[in-house]
Amino acid sequence: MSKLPRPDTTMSGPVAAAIAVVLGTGVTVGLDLALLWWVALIIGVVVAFGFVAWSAPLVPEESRSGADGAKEEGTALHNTLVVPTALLLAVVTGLLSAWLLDLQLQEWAAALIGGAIGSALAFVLFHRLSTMLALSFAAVFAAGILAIGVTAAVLYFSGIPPLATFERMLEYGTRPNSMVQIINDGVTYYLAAVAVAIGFKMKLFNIGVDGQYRLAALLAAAVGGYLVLPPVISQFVVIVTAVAVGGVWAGIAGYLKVSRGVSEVISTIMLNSIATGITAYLLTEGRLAVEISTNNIGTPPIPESGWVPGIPATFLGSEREIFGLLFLAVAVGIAYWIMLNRTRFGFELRATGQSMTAAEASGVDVKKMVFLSMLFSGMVAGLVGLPQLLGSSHYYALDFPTGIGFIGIAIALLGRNHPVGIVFASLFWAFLNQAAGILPFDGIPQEIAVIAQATIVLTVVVVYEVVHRWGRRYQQQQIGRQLGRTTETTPEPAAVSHGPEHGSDAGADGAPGRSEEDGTDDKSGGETQ
Amino acid sequence: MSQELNVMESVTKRRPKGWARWRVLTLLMAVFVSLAGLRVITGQDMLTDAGTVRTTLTFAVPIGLAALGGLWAERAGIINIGLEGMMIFGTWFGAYFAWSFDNPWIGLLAGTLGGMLGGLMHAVATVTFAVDHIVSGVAINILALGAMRYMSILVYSDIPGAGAAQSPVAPSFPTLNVPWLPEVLAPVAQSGIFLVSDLASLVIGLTTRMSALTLIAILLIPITYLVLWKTTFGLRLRSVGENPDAAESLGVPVYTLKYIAVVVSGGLAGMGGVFLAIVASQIYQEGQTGGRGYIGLAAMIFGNWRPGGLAMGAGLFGYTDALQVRGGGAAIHALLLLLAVVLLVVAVWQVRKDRKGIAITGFLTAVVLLLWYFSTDSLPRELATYSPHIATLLVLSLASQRLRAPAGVGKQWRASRS
Repeated sequence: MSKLPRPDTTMSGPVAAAIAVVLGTGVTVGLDLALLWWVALIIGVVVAFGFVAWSAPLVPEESRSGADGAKEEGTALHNTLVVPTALLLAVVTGLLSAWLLDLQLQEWAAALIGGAIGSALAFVLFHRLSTMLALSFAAVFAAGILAIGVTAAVLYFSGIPPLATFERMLEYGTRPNSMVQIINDGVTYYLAAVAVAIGFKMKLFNIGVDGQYRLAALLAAAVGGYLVLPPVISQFVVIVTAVAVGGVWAGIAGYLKVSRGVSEVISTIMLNSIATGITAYLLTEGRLAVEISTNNIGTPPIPESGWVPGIPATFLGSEREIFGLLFLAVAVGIAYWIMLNRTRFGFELRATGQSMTAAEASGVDVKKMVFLSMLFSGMVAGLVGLPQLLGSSHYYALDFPTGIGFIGIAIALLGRNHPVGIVFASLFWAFLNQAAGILPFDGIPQEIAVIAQATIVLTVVVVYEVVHRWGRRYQQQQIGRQLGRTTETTPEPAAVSHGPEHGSDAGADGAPGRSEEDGTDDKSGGETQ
Repeated sequence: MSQELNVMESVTKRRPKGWARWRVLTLLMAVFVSLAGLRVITGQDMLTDAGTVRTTLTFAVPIGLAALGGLWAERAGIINIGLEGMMIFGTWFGAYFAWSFDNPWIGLLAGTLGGMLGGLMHAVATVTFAVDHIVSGVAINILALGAMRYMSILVYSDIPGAGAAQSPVAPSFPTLNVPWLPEVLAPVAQSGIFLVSDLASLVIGLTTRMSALTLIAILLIPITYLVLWKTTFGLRLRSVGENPDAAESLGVPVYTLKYIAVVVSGGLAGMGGVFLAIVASQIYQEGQTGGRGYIGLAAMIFGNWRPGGLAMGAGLFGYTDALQVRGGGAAIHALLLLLAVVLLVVAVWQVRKDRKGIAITGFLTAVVLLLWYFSTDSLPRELATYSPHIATLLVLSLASQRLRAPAGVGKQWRASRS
């Protein structure tokens, strides 16, 4: 496309963007008359992307510098990896938004809006996608393909046709009722994953989210069931109880780590088991439990005034309701983002996670940080059971869902501990769970979903690590070469390998030949976008 | 019983010559004597009878094997939280192959290999790709659970008595008995004399109906000690866990050793799984491992990354488990008394060392425990089940500052050439 002749004039950024959007949308709508809507949309977005790529040199410099600040366009990595990733992301986002809108609007309108979104993204991503972020996306794509491949192989060798299975899952997973279920599960998983991620951010492994949320849900349910309070106050008290219990339970592990040096991995695992014991002890008739139905005992149901009303999901075409505490999850996600990126605490948290000694040397009270992040992690963990408790079951009984804490660990890994990444990860996880629910009817073990989930966690982690290491080395070489060009020294010093790497996260170690600004920008590029 | 450890370790400050060598034995004897004393005082015969000894072994062996697995991995610098998943592999493969070949030894082989497979996965992720160790371990645990259930559905769907959650009955290992010794000792064991009858019970428990795999597992502890501490290979392996850079500079093949260690670790965990499936219950059941991989890890930390120590840790878990299974709350209730006394001793000791905070805490806890002991007859079953976990937390929080992990454990190490 760059072979095409270009006019000699320059074009301002917004104008180019507008042309791209109009072009993409126009092609989409036009082709929609002749082709299937999604084919039209793909072609439309690709055309818009092509235009953006073609017009890129015409757009003035300031509106197209990447998030890194460094000039990346034109490098081999940018051409082979960042551009295709941007294209793929634009197309996928356009398709997804059109598909979602299709449930509400006419097909052509949905395709139109989808095409517009995709084209706009094509412009934004082409100019703004940083290399590191593109690498992350590429890693996730690669891992997804690997995981799908492994899952297909497992199915194939078990004598089950993979493609038909995937098709069946996709079909069932996108039914309206399934989607409501996915969102509801996703809300719960999201809270669990954020709880885990708070710890992960400073290399603190809160394996105990499972015990924290179960204990918190039980006690909160008991408070809500036994204390009859006026409406709003009741929910408030229940939530506060859950947060407090979760915080205390995780705080024990935090305290033991800080004051006695007990590894939080072991102590939280032990606390999980102890929580199971306490739950079993309290959940017997005569203590906290009453008979709910035959074979099931639980805390007395919370009166209706204490429930959190659901959101009707008619816009998805379903009779069911989405948990009202969806907003709580959103609030937690936003709070988590603000905490990480806009507060001193979050800065110190990330600093401690990347290098405890460096953080300590620069005046961070590491012990306080360990305790507080464990406490916060537990407080969020306390919320995990609440959407289910206040939105659906209204009591804590023997059949209350368990094991969500461990799912949260996997999702936090999948979402790279990022508030937005976790959203997608938890929805994806819930989708796999829900979609596999149809398989037993065809005589296929639904555990294939678990295999797919575990494989994707492993592959994401591995591929991310590999791609990141590779990308970082490439970037260093690139910068080394640039430095060499400007100062007219040999590019060698920056291009040599930089010794054993101990850090795992983006920009964890300040690599040689890289300015301070680059390091921080790259960090925020990888984490916040 | 856990608390003696702490007391004894305090005593060891004086360290007579050769003490370290005898420390484990002395500790075990001290534990045994206090238990015998407790039995006489409280009249809970179950505390030391032969059945308890046997059950303790049954419960301690899988935890001990998992702990040994953890030891191998962590001595080479790799945290193996995937032990749980590797045990699950072991239970499934062990039961399946033992059942299909009608031979427990083939089951043992298959289960161990299954565990090694899990170990290999962990090694590829953590050593070759330098992924965070906990992350990889957690993923393996998730994978093992799902994959084995999937396999069960595929394999056992048409087998009567088996299904998604369990296998058919697998053949058992031969059991070992020492002839005539139990008959001779039985009257002594029943006499109820302090220490003498307890000792007799212990011998009877150890010499009757012991599964061959139990013996193998017990032997693996000294074998591990000899391999890791008395051979060049072991020295190199441990050096990799302490300081991989230094080891590499001396020409030690760091990656290879880490691989070997993690694969062996998986194999040991798998063997623990086989024990659970074939010896402890004769079938594979879903969720059979019940977090024993994690507890094994805790037992290893508790045992200060040493074979003897982890054996004691496993014994502690096995013992409380055994009491809980056999007698429920009453026997564990008796242990409260012991715990209180031990805490009092700790408190006195801390006063002598002028650490008032710990002393006061210990004293208050002891008083609470005593009150609890005298005001109740039995511990609620639900809490008794989890007494080992509480004990671990207590012991770790009292003693963890004295523990020393391998210096390089948990590091995502990369060779300098890459």
